[in-house]
Amino acid sequence: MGAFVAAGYVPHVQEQLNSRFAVGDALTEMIGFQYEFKLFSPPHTLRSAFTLLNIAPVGEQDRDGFLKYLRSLMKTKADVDEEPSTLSGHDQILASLRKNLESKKPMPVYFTWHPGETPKGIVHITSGEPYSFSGETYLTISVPTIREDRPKAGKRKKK
Amino acid sequence: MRGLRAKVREYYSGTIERHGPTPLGVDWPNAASQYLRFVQLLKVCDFERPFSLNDFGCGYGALLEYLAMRHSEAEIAYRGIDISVSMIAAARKRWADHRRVEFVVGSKCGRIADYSLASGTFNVRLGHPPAGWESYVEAMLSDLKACSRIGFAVNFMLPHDDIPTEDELYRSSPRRWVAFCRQELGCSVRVLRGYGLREFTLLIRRKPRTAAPRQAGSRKAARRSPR
Repeated sequence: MGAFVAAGYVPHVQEQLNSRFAVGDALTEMIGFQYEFKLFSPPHTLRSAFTLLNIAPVGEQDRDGFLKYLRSLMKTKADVDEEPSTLSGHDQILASLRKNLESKKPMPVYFTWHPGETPKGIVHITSGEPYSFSGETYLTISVPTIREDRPKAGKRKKK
Repeated sequence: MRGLRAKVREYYSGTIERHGPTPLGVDWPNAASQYLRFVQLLKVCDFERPFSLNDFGCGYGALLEYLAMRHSEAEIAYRGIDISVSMIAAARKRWADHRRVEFVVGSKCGRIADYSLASGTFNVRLGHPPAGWESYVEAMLSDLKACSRIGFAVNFMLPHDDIPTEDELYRSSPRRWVAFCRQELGCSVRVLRGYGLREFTLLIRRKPRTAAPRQAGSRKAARRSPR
């Protein structure tokens, strides 16, 4: 995110995402939304799904940046459990969320990020125990981020 | 009751003024949860034929958004009622060019329709003692019945398993209100729960009027009637 959303707000968005997919009532709600509205299935996009869930930074500029960022994930690659996916990062996130929420035992979801420069823009999807204080298994979705102080295209030094 | 209504009016006028015509403006966290509630409440309606609908506690008219999305073919004469003047002003502005839509300020339904819905209107009791709030809910349910030709639907939040109910909110088990609607209002009730939200929805229908017992003479008449 970084380049799309002010760095200070990124943890806030992450907190919103993680609390909406947390163990308990929140996850039960998501299962209900997927059952009734197929929220994480086409023709929905991450942009439309997160808008319906009211997940976004507070300020208008950062909100627009976040929605642009979600769209930019359509141009990234993805891997699932370290195996390359044929889907874009965006579509793989939707597919993994759908598969998880429609499974017999849906897992809570943990959203995190990693540096997106090298290799360029890959969404990593795994399952594991992200919290050292909990033995709960989460579907983990890590999205590539760019530093907000990264020089814009055209202003980068050629090596 | 008047003080209680004034407090409710003030509360919801505050939310719409702070957040505008959005789910937060009517105290819902997001559109998805709002729509999921509408899905349940509208199960009381028969979409096969045209009908009239009272939307009590309509806010800015979010139900119309949902109806346009999922039931765009349905012929519905919609009437939104809300206790907050600011809510109704926002609703009138938003739905100004819609036909068969009316918004009125009120603390009761005020007019008979085929169906009435009330989404989330019993959830925020603003610190009022539960007994007083339950009297208010009883009065509102009686009014919803009086203003519904066929049936009405309402929802309530369920209690948490291990946390006491917040002072500001009202939570209840279905039993309390199913018993009231069956015994006091003489209606049939269907309970919906387990749809993803910590709440339940009651679909309440008027019972068809049973025919008055026939007098001795009318039995003969019935026998004579052509088959």
